[in-house]
Amino acid sequence: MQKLLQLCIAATLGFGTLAQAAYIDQSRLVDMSNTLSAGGSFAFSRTIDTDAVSLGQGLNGFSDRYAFNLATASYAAGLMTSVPYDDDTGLVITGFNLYKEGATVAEYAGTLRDPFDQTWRFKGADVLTAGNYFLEVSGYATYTNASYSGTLSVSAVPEPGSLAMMLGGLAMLGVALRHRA
Amino acid sequence: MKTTLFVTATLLMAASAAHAANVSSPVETLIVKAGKGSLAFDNNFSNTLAGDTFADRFNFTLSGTASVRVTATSTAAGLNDSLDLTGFGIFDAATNQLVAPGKLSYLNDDGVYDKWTLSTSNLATGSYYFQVSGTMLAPGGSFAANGTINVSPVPEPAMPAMLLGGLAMLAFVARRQGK
Repeated sequence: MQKLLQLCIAATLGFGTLAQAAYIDQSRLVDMSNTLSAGGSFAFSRTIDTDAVSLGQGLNGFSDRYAFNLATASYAAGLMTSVPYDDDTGLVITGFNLYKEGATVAEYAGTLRDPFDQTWRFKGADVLTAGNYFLEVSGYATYTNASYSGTLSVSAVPEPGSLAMMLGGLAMLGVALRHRA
Repeated sequence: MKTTLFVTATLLMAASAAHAANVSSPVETLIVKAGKGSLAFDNNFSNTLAGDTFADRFNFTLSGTASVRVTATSTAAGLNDSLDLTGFGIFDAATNQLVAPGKLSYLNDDGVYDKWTLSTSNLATGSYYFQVSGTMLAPGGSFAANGTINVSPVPEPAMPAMLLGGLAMLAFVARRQGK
């Protein structure tokens, strides 16, 4: 009987140590360069599994990065959602931002638009120069199995070169028409 | 000159019409377990043309009555980028009937995006699929969806039997010790 008691105490102590589990970093880096074409878009999604003892702010978290390359100057827009369970557990999204590689300040910062399904959105008015970028989704889990998903769209900015070419073409058409008349 | 222009225009129109193809992806299957579970699915299209349409299916099977909450989205940086989501719903896999329609909710305050939300609370045991429909606006469009499914567990007949068996054994042991 005493042995059983000792076992019980040992088990409880063991559980106690588990309950004070260290912070679990769930972050991951995904290279999206294969799926993004000029003027195109990419979709991203993730289901996160977290230990029951590590739920909540400060006990787990993620800052997922989706890296891509812009070959030409572009505009970008992003939208993501994370649907919670009926009891409002799931994921708590704390940030949705677009960064240029190496920068600490976001080019476009997303804002929460709809708390029902945690719709986060950004659409930048400033032109993004060509280069490497990453989309960052940050948050933490309040349930053991939860997910988010979203899309990023890129719109090419007409280069000065192509604009000049178009004007040149129009001018030539004009000259040709005048010549015929 | 005029005839050439007309012929060229006709040819161009015919070419674009011929290209408005069905670019649906192969059917995918989502794993849905009993209890509270989360799911996410998405798709990236490539080499599509503006005007192409798709109706992508994501199969799932429910082992009990379920409540489902899912949101499907797409976004575009410009008016003619990515794709338009034109439909979202849950269909019965056997009859292909729409059993839970999604609702289109625009939050169109700063540009173009489509968001479909779907919420149903008493989907019966059976096989279903999510269908996401849309029209391409650019060569590379994409959509994404995520949500929760809460499947009520159906008690297995073996479980009460096991419990009764255990109780019987307990009673037997107690009786023996008493003697």
